[in-house]
Amino acid sequence: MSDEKKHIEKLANQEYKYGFVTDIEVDAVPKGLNEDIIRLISEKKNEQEFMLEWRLKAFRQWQKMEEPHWPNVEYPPVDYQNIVYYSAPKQQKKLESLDEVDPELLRTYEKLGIPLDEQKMLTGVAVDAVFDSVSVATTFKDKLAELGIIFSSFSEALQNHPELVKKYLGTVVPYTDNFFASLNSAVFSDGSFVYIPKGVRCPMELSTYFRINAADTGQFERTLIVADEGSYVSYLEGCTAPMRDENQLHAAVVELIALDNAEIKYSTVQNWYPGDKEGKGGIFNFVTKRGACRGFNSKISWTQVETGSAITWKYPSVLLQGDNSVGEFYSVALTNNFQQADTGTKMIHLGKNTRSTIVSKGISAGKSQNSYRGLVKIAKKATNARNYSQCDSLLLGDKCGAHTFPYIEVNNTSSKVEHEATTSKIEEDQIFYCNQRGLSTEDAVNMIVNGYCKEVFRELPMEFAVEAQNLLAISLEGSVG
Amino acid sequence: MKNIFNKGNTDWYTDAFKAFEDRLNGQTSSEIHKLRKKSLRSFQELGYPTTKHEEWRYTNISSLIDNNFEISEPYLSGELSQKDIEKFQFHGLESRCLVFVNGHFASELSNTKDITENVEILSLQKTIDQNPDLVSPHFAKYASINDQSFISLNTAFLQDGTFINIPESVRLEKPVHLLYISVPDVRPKASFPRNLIIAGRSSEMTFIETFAAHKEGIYFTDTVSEIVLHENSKVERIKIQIESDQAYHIAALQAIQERDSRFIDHNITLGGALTRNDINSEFRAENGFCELYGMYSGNQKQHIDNHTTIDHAKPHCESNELYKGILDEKAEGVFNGKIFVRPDAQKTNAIQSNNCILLSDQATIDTKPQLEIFADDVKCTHGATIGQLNEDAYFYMRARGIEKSNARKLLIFAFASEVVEKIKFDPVREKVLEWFAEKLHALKPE
Repeated sequence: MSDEKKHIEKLANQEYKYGFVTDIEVDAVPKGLNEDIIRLISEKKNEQEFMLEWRLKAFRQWQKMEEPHWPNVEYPPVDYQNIVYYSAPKQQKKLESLDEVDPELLRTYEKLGIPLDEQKMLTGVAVDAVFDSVSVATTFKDKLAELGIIFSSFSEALQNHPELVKKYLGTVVPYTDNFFASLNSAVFSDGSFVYIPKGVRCPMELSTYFRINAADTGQFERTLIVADEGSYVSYLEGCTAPMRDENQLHAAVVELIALDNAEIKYSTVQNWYPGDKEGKGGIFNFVTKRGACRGFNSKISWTQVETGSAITWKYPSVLLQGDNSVGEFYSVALTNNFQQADTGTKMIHLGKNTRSTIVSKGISAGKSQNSYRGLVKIAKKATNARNYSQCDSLLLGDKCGAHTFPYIEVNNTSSKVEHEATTSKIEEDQIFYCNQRGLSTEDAVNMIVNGYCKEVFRELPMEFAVEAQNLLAISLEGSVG
Repeated sequence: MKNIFNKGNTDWYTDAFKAFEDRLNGQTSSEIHKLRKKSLRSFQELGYPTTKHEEWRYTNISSLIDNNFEISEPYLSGELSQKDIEKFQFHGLESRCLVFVNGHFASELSNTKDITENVEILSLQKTIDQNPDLVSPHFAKYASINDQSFISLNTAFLQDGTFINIPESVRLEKPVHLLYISVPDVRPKASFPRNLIIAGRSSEMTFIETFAAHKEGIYFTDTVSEIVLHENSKVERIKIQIESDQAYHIAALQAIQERDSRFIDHNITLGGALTRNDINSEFRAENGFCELYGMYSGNQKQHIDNHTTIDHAKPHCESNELYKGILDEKAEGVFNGKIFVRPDAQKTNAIQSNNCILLSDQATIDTKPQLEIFADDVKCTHGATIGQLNEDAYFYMRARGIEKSNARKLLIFAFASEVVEKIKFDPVREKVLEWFAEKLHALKPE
């Protein structure tokens, strides 16, 4: 046992692999938040008048709001005036190809394991990499443009397709939605914009990589995906952040809109810096993600693997407005050391014959707290609606906590709602069985946890599933024993 | 913490308290009265919970606040006769029966004979007057007056109720029936029955609480029960609520379980305009066992809210919970089942299940099964289903010539029986099914 313990300790002491800072000159605005800062951001981004007005409306709304404290998480108060709300790599000229991107930046991505050029050739994934707040390079854009697909940074979309942005921005997550969504609406610096035209099936997985680099910067990106009638898109999002002692704030907003017969699949692998073993530092991840199945037969599917962040606070939701629309939520949330996660989903059934599935797998280790909070609401007119929810929790160690707060509200007779939850730990005989067959305890736990998460992993696109499995293994290190 | 409480017309009860105090002549300097005053202050500070309060999210009590309920007056001899309470008795069940009218003990209606010596089954008021030392070590020690408005209100106006004290190793074969009858008045009245049950080491007992109305009308029952289960004791409660359709019923139960104790609760709700049950059990030592069963059936505009909490504070305890609801017309159901597993409460085994059937499009159910777990070597599961009657079973019966409405009733009956069947006294179980059948009778044929 002592050998094993040493081994585990060694692994537990392994530092955050992605914790490096890239030295790039940045163009940032002063710390703090007021109307002038917002005007400055808007001006820097050369935005149209309607955008500035929208930001200001959001800011005024935000000032009236109070920070919510109902989630099952604890954190020191955030000083919103001590944050740099805009930080961009200093590069003014427009980029046509990857060669023009700062090689330093490219090396960062290589360290992250996403060499843009290699991916471009081998995997066929188009990447819109967001470095701090500005999108630096978008690959495969031309190829996508042939099909009429718009895949660009948010700022570019504002310049090139203002009518589309204006039509859909804030229609799913209005600027009045919640404290962090309003803050995001006021100061968001960039993000991704995707538009899939009628009847087009996006031939490749679209992907964004977010990374918070500069110290004291908040990352406020905004993603808007619109799938027009009969279209399909699969979108991947991955996140990392360098190591810093102070906490950094990440308040993103993601809006998805699926029209008639359209399908959007949104996958996230989040491994922001979770803080060190003592719970110092780490990212506060306060995210609002919501999709609207506007059209008949539309479908939105969220898959998330959450292993990072000191605090995660997010509820990817689906508004099932169109008849026969489908909402799905698959989640693995792993917390270790002092991490806290309060995550789940909301399925709001409004249309007839709408269906939703929720599969949530929580894993808590160390001294972490992991909560599932979900709402299934079936409106009176949502006849024949169907929901199935399953939320399982796995506890590794006796100092952690697993909690479930499912809310179920049903308002008609033809709908069926089922909810199941279990909480358990890895049985000693399972470990013993593996040990007997020559697997170390560490490997056995990894294997069992991976098996436990399989239902979710199989929803992930191939490349992501592998990454997610590795990530899980890294995050779990040191939790056994 | 803002907005979760509302001061409402707490003044009404402040004024009522003055009048209440005058009536108590002589008692105002006692310990109990100090507690009453403290509770009133606490109620004044708290006010009423609003729907912003997480525990009251789905239950709006504004109509209750708007009613100015007067404090019920002591029972006058001859107000009711044996005949009036006949229909609430369980025929064929040998039991002692304590009858309370508007929350006050009516000894002439009660049957307390052949109570074994040294077993105390008394009116609480009498015990407080004659033997306060028996009551004081436990009284108001478990149901908190500090954060729950209706417990503080009950404690402020507490006057009567039941006190049961079972000594060590005594096993009561016959159940105790506590019958709470409200006689509605033109001016709506509020009554505050209060129970304290102490089960000594290795003792065993069952008590039945029936809340009923003498006739239809508006009134408010705010009741609190505290149950202490000492080592290896077993207490079973059967609560049957068949209040008037216009009545407000708010009840809290707090059970404290010592080592090896066993607490079983049956909670049947059929009546009342607005019902709220808070049923909490806390394990204070290892190897406790707790079973909570509930069945609720609502129609018209009934609102039925059941909140349960099982606090696994100690290791090696087991709990099992099953709640079933049937909601028709514009009825609203709320279920919130909490299971806490505290750090180090290893080897906990907790099962919870909540099933609900909606029979009408206007009926609604809001359910929130909640697990909060801080220990790893535990097995906890919860399940919640909301749906309709089984179509296949319905078709099977229709194919065999059973009428539509009968088939429906049979299915509903079978659904509810799973909970009602757990009541082990035949006369009680049959009576409950009879009351339930009466209610089902009102079911509209489809």
